[in-house]
Amino acid sequence: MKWKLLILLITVILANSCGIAYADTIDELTDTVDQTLEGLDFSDIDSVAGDFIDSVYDKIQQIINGQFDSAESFWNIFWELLGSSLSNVSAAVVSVGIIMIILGLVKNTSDGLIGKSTQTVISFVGVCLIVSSIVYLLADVYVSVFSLMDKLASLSQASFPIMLTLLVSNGGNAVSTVCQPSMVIFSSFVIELVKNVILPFSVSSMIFVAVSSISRNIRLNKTASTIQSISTWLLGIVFMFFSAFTTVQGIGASTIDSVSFRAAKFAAKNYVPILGGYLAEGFDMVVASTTLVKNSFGIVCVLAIFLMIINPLSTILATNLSVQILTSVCEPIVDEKYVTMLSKLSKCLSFLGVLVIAVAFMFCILLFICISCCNMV
Amino acid sequence: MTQWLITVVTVAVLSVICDIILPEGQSRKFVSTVIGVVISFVLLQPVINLFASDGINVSSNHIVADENYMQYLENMQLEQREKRLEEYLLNQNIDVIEVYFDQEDKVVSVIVSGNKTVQLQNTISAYLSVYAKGYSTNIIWGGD
Repeated sequence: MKWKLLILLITVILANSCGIAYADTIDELTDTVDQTLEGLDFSDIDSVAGDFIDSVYDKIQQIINGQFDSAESFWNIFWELLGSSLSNVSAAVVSVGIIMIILGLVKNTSDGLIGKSTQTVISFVGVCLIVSSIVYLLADVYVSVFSLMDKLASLSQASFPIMLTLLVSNGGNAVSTVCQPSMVIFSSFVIELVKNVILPFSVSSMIFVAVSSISRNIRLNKTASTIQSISTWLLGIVFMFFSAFTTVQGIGASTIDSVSFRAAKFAAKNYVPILGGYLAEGFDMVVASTTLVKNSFGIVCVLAIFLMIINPLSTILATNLSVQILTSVCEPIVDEKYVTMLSKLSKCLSFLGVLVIAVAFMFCILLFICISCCNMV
Repeated sequence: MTQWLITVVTVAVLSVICDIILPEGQSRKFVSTVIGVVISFVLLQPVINLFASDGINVSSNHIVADENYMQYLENMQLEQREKRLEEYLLNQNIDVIEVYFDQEDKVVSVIVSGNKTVQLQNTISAYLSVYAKGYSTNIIWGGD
């Protein structure tokens, strides 16, 4: 009995001492993480993402402490924005629908009642009203997408230097060599290509579709299709090459860094006597803290990207949905040229949605590569 | 770009107005042809400007690692190394007061309380030759 009590007492003491040692390590890690964060300057990112995230520093601390936002909250935000966008565009779309229906009814029921030239003038005025209303509606969408591209460019220029610094500090020399050119290409070439070539092409295509519907003598439908096709091909090629190269090279470079780190640990363990095991198996607080900060910072950037794109995306989706519903409702009544115009404008909007998702996805791929590599603690 | 789009739309609207106003005949066909040529020229304007432009600038000056922050982390790692060496020496029953790594001169200084003994000096030097490889050793005895 006495022996059993003695063994139980020793077990309790050992468990407590391990618990105390663990608590001391966690406290030291927390202090090291705070010191690591204090050395970083988040002012640029705070100015860019300030509308969506109050403080990047506080958000990183929350994530390090395991306080993640739930997926349900993101879904709720998305559905709320979609609902408000639908209600915002519905008034304009309904008014366009009413004008189209009136024009359709006038055209179909006024044979012999009004002269041909009068009919032409009424048709011209109606078309101008419809086209100007639709173009005004779509102009808001395009302005929001242009503004989004500016914000993504600013976010990339503010976040990439910090991410690169944390990667290099974590021993990711190969990954940083691979990621730095990709970061430069994304923040300067890809965003500039989208803002100066692809988006203007898309706007032009939209305008040409609208102008073509004003008169049968103005034929710009093929021009609009060609321009839209060029934009689609450009986006597809850029997306494919950027994503493929970044992902493959990033994974390869990450493996190189992991092997190098393990080789260094092996060398320390087997070739450094007495203290070798102590050095190799020891827990490097600074590397652990930079790993935590790097991964949390990456997650905060992905969150900022999501919050930036959600509003324009829901506007695009709501407008596209409304235009398609209008087309399907008015098709039996109105002239075919209006249905064709609305269908083509709906395709322009779909392309815009794909463009926004593609650019955000390219940004996220880079961040995911940075988060998933150099976790060598 | 906005200016170009306004030009295209204006020419298109003018074309429609001409189409409505002009009577049937040769003059209407002639005016329609001229307006078609003008629209084609306006459409080609951005393509001509694209060939004349400098293209897209790819600048890498702004995306570089922060050297000051890496120095800051290096200093933090050095402090951790000093602390671990102190703990290790204390665990070996050596009364260490402080350990200090001098990065510039590559010297590790260990302040030990108590008097200097040959055995203790050899023990500390052996540990430091392993743990602080590449650094020369400076042991400061508290009893001196």
